[in-house]
Amino acid sequence: MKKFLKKAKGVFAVGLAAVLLSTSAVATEDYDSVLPDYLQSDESGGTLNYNVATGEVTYTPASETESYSNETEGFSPGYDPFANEDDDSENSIQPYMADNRVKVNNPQNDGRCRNTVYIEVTLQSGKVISGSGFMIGPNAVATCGHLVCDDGFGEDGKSWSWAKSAKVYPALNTGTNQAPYGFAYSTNFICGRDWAKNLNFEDDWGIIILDSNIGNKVGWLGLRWQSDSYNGEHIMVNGYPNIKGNSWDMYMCRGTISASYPKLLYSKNAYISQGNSGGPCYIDSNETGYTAIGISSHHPWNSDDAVFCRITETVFNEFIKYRVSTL
Amino acid sequence: MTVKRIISSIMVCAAVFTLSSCKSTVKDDFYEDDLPQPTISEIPEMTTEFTEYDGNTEKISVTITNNSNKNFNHGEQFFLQKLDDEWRYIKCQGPWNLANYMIKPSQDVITTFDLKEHVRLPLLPGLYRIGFYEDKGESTPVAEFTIKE
Repeated sequence: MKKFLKKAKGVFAVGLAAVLLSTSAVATEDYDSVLPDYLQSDESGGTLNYNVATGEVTYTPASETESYSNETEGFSPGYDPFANEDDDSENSIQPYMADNRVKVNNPQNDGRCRNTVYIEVTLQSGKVISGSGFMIGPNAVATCGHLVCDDGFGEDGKSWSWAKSAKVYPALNTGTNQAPYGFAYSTNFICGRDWAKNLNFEDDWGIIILDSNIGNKVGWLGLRWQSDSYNGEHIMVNGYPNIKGNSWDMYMCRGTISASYPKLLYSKNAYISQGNSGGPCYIDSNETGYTAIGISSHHPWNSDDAVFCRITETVFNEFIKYRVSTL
Repeated sequence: MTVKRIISSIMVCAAVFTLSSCKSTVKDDFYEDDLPQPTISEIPEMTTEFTEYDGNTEKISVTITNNSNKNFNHGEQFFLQKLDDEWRYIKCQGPWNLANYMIKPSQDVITTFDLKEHVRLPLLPGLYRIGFYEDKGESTPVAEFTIKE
């Protein structure tokens, strides 16, 4: 019996060895170790403001952000410097493509499009990424968080960092008047601390402060937040998707909101793709006109649905701060 | 008492072996077979940092050299294939951001693929290739690497 017991122990030892051998060494990257000091604490909420010239970062706790609305909703009107002039918006957005998108040929002539911007972001490594955004004030652009800081933005092409700089062109197009309002450079990048630390798409909003008041030339969309669902709401989405190597033409698509979550909005029939990041998701409201309710963000884990970072009360309050020039 | 110990030792061994063989069951939902084969381009060139990786490697960095005379654009979404009898897709899942990554002519850049975020690990041993997912059938460069035994 003892012999048998010894054999059984041997089998057990072999089994244990097999398990240990089958558990390969895990190659891990200690994510926290590459984050800057100001992201190491467990605090949540608040915003970070990165000065592009000095590299200085300022943190504003959530408790210090002023509220511009009541408890269930908020609205801030848009501004259109050409409001009294005719536009050719209907002529400029035909025909729709099979995927429900339409190229906007003359975005400068369309009040809901001229404030959409093309953004070219240079990373610390020299790599360039492009995306979209929309003016929210004279020198402020709303966009997504993953255009202002992210993993892979560092000098080594791998680590977390802020972007190095951004160049912003309202209403860029490849027609005869390609940059009708010129361009402006970034002076500051702003995003929620929760985005910077966790890179969670629920907090994927950002702001780019510009070195000129280019927004006064093109205007800005209205902004809205509400605690109620947006399900069934008809939306329009502007942006600069890369189509066959060209990312300098604006496209608009239409759709409906299919699901509303506290921080995200989903659409099954609005088609967005690479380059759309940061563009406005907006409604045409009888009461408030063209009004942004979300920001193009990502495709979810299992489908090509369009997912927008929702303009929540927090995001709304951050955006409203920049309705006036900071220059 | 001794018999009890023998039986419990055998049961523990059986459980241990069952758990250690779980790797093979991963294989059943490892692949995604519904996608058409990608169109591969030689330009730009893309090479992995190392030729061989551990199956639990969480991130793989590649150098992309744009030796053409026009911009090369790609998105965040990537595909991963393993060579069995043919190249077969490994399941890769979002979320994927919608930024457009541009590499200018003559530019070298390092891009990192986050396997941990999008692929079920560990990868099984074998030859793999990784490239950018293109839903409109456009071509993409790929980089090959080996997952060691």
